[in-house]
Amino acid sequence: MTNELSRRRFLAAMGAALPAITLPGFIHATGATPTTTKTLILIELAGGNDGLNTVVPMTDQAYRGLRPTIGITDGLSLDRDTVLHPAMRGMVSLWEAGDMQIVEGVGYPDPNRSHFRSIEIWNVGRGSKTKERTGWISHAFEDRAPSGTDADGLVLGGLSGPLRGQGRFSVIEDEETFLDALRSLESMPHAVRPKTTSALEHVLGAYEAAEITGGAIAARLERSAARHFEFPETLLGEQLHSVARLMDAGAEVPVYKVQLHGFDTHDNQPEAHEFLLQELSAAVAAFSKAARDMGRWNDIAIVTYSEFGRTARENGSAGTDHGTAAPVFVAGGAVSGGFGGARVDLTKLKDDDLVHTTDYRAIYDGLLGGLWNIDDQPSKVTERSSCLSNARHGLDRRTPRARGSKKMSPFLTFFAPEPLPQALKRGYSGRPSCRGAGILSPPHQI
Amino acid sequence: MVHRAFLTATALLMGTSALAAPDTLTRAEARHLIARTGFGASPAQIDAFTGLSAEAAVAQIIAGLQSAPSNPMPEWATGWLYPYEPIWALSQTEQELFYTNRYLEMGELSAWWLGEMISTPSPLTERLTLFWHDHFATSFENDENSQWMARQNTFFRRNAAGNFADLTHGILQDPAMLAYLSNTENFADAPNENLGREFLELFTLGEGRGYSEKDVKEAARALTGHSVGDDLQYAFFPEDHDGGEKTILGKTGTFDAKSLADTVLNDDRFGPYVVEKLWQAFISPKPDPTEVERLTAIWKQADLELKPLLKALFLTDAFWDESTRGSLIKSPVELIAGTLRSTGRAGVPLSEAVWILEEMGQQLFHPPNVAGWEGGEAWINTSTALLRSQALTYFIDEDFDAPARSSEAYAAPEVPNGALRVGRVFGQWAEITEEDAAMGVITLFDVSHEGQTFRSINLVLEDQEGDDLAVWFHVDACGSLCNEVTRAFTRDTDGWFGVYFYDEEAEIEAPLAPGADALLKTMIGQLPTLFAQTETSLAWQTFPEEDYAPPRFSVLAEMADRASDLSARTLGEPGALILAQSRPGSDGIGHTAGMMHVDDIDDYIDSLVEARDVYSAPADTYASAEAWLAAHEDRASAMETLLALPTEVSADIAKADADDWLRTLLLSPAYQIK
Repeated sequence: MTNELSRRRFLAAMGAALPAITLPGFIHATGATPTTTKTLILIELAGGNDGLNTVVPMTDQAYRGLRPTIGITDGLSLDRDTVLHPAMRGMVSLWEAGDMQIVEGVGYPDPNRSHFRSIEIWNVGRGSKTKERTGWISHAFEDRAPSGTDADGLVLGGLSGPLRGQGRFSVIEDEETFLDALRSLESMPHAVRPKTTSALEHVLGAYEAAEITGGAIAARLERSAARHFEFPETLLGEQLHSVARLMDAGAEVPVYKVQLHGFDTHDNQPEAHEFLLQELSAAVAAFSKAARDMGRWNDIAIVTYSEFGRTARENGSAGTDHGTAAPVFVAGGAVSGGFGGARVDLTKLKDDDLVHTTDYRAIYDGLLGGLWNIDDQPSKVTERSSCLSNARHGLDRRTPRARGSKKMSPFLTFFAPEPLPQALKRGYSGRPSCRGAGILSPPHQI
Repeated sequence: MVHRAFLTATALLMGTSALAAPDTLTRAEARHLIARTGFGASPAQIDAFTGLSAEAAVAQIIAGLQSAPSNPMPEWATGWLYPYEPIWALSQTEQELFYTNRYLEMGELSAWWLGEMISTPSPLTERLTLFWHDHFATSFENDENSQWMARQNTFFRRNAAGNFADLTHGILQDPAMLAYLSNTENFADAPNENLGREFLELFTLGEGRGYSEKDVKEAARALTGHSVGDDLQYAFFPEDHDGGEKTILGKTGTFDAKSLADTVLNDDRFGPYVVEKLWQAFISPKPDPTEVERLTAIWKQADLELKPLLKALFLTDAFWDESTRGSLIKSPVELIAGTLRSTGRAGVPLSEAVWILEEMGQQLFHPPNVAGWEGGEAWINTSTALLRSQALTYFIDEDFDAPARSSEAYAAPEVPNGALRVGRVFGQWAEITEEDAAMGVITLFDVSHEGQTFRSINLVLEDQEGDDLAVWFHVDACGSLCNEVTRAFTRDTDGWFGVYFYDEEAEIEAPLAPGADALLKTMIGQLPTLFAQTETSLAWQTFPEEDYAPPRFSVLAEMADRASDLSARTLGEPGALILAQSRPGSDGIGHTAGMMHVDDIDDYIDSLVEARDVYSAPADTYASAEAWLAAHEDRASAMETLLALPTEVSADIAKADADDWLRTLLLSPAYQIK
């Protein structure tokens, strides 16, 4: 509101004819790789979502003990023992339709409780020791991007994270603002690159990506009739609305990343958390409806992730501090619904915190394999043993909830109706692994 | 030259490489030093530094460091701290206006700061102030307290190149920081580790540099009880502090905030992380480990004084090595402030620049989280790259109206001499204390009288056993019930200050400051009218909470009548009272009468933004692109002023007129790096 005046003036000025300026444009021909229709939508829950109050073990006495005042007492039933936070009405219907898998107890060994380091660990996908900064998506696409695309990925909220690195990953606010900006700067390609530093390379790359992506998106939008979608007018709602419009226009973008922030609920958590989960759930529900309307629901996977869960025990300020493991939601028409991973045993805390049962890299592997048949070796090699031990932990030790539950689906197999990805057969033959563990126990669908 | 030969010989004898920093700065080197330690570089500045030795030039920059701004902060920033509690008694619209005013203040403060960066004779002071704002990141958004942010900015500037220990101790007593990182919720029996963790991870040691989770928890215990009082200033609450034994970084003691900080700063592990961050801000993205070690040693030798460290940093080989030229990406602030400083363009309305900074990802006083801005390559992505070009085009080409302080629409009306102007009145509390005794509190906001302006004044009315009546003020800051405003009334500096009324006489407890009696007389004499304005605050009576005894406001009304009557008889007739007419400059929540329609509010806000705007006034001003270009020997040297790395321009551009030539260079990708 305070800057409305400036905003108006600036936009008015931008609308006027601008002098032509020079932008670099080093268009490189894209190879004719096969097109994929599979789309991954990553929702970052920034700040550290409290998993225990999201997917709630209602009947667990230990939970009551850990959460005497902020514990959830009433929610949306997932099974006999478990409820979803009551604000997540929109997402529980995906669960009921068998279109959502809740992977429980996701984390990584030697958990880091720094927001910044931990989200980097999630973004990079190589465990907590690596100094690597390339995002797991960028890395997986390095050798084998899914198709000749308009962009390898689009970031509509937050930092590039999993999409950080080489490749045509563009950050845009929303498609209209982005295209308006591009139009206001008349471009004129250079013939050669000047002498550069890596900083200048980065700047040039950004302008280049803007031109390529912008041009492609503009062409798509021009050719398509704008369909109306209902979305909540929230920050996340608007980001997902943009994704829906782009998908509907036929944009070929395999990965979209959006963000909902504010999950760092150190104090007075209940109200803030309810608000956030309501925003998340309503936006996801709207998106799933839009995807169905455009006939794309079976091609997509919506995945939530957060840098960490929160402390098992509530603190003295009706909040929770930085913790460890938490559930991950995976939704889409082709996703096998039910529980995945394994529930964390609340009576066996380590340093008063949850011990993860499911390595986060298993999720990435499952998504890359299931969506695009990509077997991104490097993300698996690092700390493979811990991945394995956690897989065993999940299957053999059987936490109380997992034992005897019919809804325990194998973690990492999100796309049961699809034939097993090549990579599964190829990459894992002869040695057990996280995903191998998934094959051991056949999927149970709801 | 004798001098130079002598220095070289000395350096050889001492076996140092200290002379890698040039003896005689070329134009490009002078530009590099100015731009890297400030915001851009104007031709005049570059000329002034060319030919100096690097040591002399660095010494001059360090000597120029300031601990106070060259342009005074907006008046409200140093005024009384607003009590926020009574705001909840207001109607929805009024609450929104209250917070709108706080946001307007932040816009004003941001424009002011950007203006300071553009006009200051010591840009390094502002670079460092911004560095600490980023390092000890706190966002306005958390508590929406504009005064806290202004005070924190003053604190950073005062210590910008002082001692790191002072910065560290100070930030652990900074209300905005304590509230931002939940330390106001950190109690002995219920520790909250938010501040303790970030203190080790982001403020001092750095993530993964040898502290443990246990250290985090113990640090959180040490910080318990360090909080914010009712007066919104730092306060230590011994009852909330965990005085037990703690072990932090292997040292055992009873640790509080100060001894925690001292222990951490004295630890061997402390140092490199902060030095690396400074390296990344001033030299290159990749610190040289050997050099970091050497610089850390210099810094520790100097007891963490920052000036010796900065001097050493600016004289490292790496600072002057050509391979680091163009290795840093300009932050949005550097881009905008640097452009206006380099080209000397005056008169740009900075409220617009502030908004565009937000769009480019660097809203001042709003770092995205406690780690500050990610910076570096993250500044530029497809979206912000386009925006940067758009913004530069706008600021170069747009013809801005001449600065016009359009305060006419809301100019303060003529008021009779001695009139008291009051923006808003709250009835804060009222109760019957004993059978015959009662007490109540009224708060006045946005008070002006005879050229004095107060953001709030609290009056405590006390009926003493049915006969005597007292109106109290307090001299010291003591929370929301009383505040320093009373210093203006009395020279007494300790304890309560009151006016007692007996049947036919009034007794004033302490000697009054000149003119204060007139204010007292009017304030007390006008109490019935003032009380009549408290209706919105009577909303408090309707709170249906359990165990909530509603205030007895009828008691307050009765006391107000009696006090007024007694005051008129003993002190004399009151002066005039004008309600809701405080001038915009001191605007808190006042000045809203008759403007409740949403369109009016929009106009009102626009007029305030304009009235409070700050316009660029660079240290060196050039009237046009032509004048700027004329300050150079030729176009090649003008290009050197703008770009860290030389770039090629087409023959067309080389011959273009000054405007086109300048625009082309500013819009070239090479202008985005430094």
